[in-house]
Amino acid sequence: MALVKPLNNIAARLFTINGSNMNSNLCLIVKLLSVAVLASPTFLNMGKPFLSYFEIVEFGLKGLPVHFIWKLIFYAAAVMILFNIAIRLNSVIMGLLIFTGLALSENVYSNNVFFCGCLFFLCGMSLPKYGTWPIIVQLMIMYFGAAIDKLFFESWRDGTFYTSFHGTSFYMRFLKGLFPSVNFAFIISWGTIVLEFAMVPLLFFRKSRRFALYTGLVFHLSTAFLGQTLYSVFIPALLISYIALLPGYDSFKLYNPEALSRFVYSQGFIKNTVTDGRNLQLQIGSTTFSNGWAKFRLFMMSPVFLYALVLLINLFLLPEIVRVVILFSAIGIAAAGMILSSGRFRLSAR
Amino acid sequence: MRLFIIGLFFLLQLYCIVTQLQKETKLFNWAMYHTNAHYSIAATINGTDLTDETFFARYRFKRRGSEGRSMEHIKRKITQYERWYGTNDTCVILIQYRENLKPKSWHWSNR
Repeated sequence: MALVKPLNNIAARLFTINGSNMNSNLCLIVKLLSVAVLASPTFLNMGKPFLSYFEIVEFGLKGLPVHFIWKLIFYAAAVMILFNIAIRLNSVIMGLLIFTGLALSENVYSNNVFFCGCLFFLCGMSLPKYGTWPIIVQLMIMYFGAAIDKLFFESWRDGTFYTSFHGTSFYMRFLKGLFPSVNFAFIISWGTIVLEFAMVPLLFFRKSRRFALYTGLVFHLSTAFLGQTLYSVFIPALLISYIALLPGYDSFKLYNPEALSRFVYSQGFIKNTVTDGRNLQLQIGSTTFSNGWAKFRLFMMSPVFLYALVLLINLFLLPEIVRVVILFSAIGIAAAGMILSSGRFRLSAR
Repeated sequence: MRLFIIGLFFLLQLYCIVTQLQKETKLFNWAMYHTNAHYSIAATINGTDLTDETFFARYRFKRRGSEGRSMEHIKRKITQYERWYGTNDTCVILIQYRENLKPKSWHWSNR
């Protein structure tokens, strides 16, 4: 019993995503990214100066314990972010360490890691009054860069890349069997280029952001499904970055905030009695949910669920196919729950 | 100041997108799955062929594998290593690869 209070305090720090000096959505982004970073093997080899982009760095750091220091600060900063300790400063440190790690060795360069660095850096640099626009602009630049590069590359324009990449996959052979005369690789290649370009204006305008969110989700999840890979940490990081497109976590109006907090914390290892559980009500947009479905929705939105999901899909040495299955199982359960709950358990619509 | 740094950060990325567009290196320009290349490298150092293990020990990447951005990175890593660490060795490299269905090869020697 004596342990319950301190453990509760730890849990509160771990799962609290508002109240810090950071926008709540950005706070959730950096916390989830920190979970991914701590679980993923991708970052283990970073921070070693070998084949650096700059000769002066390569030889200037020789003999120094750069890798040890880099890892120490990197993982300490990730843990401090999780526990709401100097969250903005530590996010900037994480971002800068990732950029430094990339500069230290060409062997570890990847867009996936660079994207994580950008997210950390921008979240850390953002004041709460900025909202989430820095992440939205980052996504726009990323889609623009990816699209224009493909547009200027002949192998993407004529579909050769896609034929080479997925030409022998089960779905391409299936489609080819159904429609032998259609060049699906060409259609998919141009579809990708157009979609990536379209994401830029869709993200720019506030009214189309929700559409951009769904379009991006369908696009990236289909690439993960068809490729049966999460492309290292890229798909998890991208899905996490989409939190910037959601309404503020602060904007979920709860009739009983205490019940919410008790409920959220009770999902962790800390067992608390949910005394007000029966009266739990949750309002999302114009819809109010109560009791069972409110709890379900809360659970799906709660950091506990998201931490667990991000942790699992980035877990060390987990086979790629298992990561994909975990991600899609979670999405399936969440989607089924959302669909079921939206029709049956609506209390009132305003 | 914060806004200036964030703005500068975005401008740097746009600069990389524009400047790397026609270059093989594709550095920091969000070129993702630009190419699909499968390669195999034959490396000879002072007349001795490198095995998978000795190749990895020297360059710290695999002798056979795939590259999603540009084969130029593989070439850069080898030439950079030899320029910095292998000046006393005689190095002969042959990379055979299949890039977007097209078979290609690259031969290089530091002597």
